[in-house]
Amino acid sequence: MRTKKSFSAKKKGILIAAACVLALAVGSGIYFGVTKGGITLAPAVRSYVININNAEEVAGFVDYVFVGRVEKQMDARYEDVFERESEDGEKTLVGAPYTLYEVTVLENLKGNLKVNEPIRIEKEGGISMDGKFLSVAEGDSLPEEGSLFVFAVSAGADGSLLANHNYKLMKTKLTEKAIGKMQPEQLQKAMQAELEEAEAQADYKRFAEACKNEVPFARERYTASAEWLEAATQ
Amino acid sequence: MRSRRKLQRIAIILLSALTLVVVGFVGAGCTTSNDYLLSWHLVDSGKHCDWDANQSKYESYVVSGAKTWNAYKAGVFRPDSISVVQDVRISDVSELGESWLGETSPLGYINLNKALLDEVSSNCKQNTVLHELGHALGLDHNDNASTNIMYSYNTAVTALSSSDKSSYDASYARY
Repeated sequence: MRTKKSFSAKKKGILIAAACVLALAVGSGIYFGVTKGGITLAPAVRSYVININNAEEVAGFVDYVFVGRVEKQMDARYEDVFERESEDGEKTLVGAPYTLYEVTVLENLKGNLKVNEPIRIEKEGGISMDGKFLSVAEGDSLPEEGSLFVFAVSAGADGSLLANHNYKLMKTKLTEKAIGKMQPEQLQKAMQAELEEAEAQADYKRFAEACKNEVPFARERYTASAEWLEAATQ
Repeated sequence: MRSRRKLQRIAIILLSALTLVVVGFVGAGCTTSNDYLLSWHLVDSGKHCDWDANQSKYESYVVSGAKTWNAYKAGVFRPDSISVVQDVRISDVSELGESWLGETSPLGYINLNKALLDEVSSNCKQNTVLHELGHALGLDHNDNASTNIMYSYNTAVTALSSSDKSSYDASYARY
């Protein structure tokens, strides 16, 4: 016969077990060495000249801030490749990965990049040469296909664009399949609605405001080849 | 009924033990109130961090930085050689559009950003190199005071603070 005492002991046991499972799940997710799909996170740590948590300072450092939709993640390239030998003699090629993305600019918050046309931007980070690690700056993340972001990017001397930071706003509903089913007028309305939804997100508002009050940073600057030439000459 | 209760007790004990192991494992990489540690480091099992900075124009700063850290714990940093395989490779990049002066990766490299480093003072350069070498030792950022080498942002500080040393003590204990 079940007594009141045995019933509450059972409840306690279930609660403790649930807490243990939760702790295990949390504990396994917060450590370098976290492996997902066979790829281990390898977070790089950096020393910055600006406070990267201050949107005004980020906006002042970069050349362009815009809302963009990531259409495609392309190839990665590797800088400063060298051969690293582990203690057990295993040799691996190591280099800093840079991943290329095709992004459609939806709205400029700073600068004048071509809108509604795909441009290419590069971000430091990506899969390691041996395919085993995901290299990304600590606290940072890589752009994702099919999502909208606020991008803070800088132009290189060759006109290319490097993404310093990206802040995820939302996933796009305008997939290739969805677009394929729309009439042009429908698509226009859907694009407008999506942009309005993006503009309601906290990071959008934060950077829209930050770009008006940016903290200037004096450095050599270049123009992106993706800049909207007509606007640039006005 | 008895065996069911027994099984429940065993399950609870096993899960509790597993949790303690995980928490302890995570705790080894976590910070105490005084120690700021990364969950990784680039020190080998012989307690050495052997560096190669032949390709870097800041090699003299690396030599000096290694000397500063070694003054606290002798012999950890060593230049690599034919007989000493590198644990960390230090090289220069020129990323004008990036806002970082230096970065250290658990994959075994330190990159120094010439585009920004060339614009700062000698002490600020030294601070950057000391800071990145600290990461190679397994030290995380410590923003409690700007006098820490491991402060997140660049300064002209070139001496280890007591917090830097405390964190180094904790990191050294795990090599």
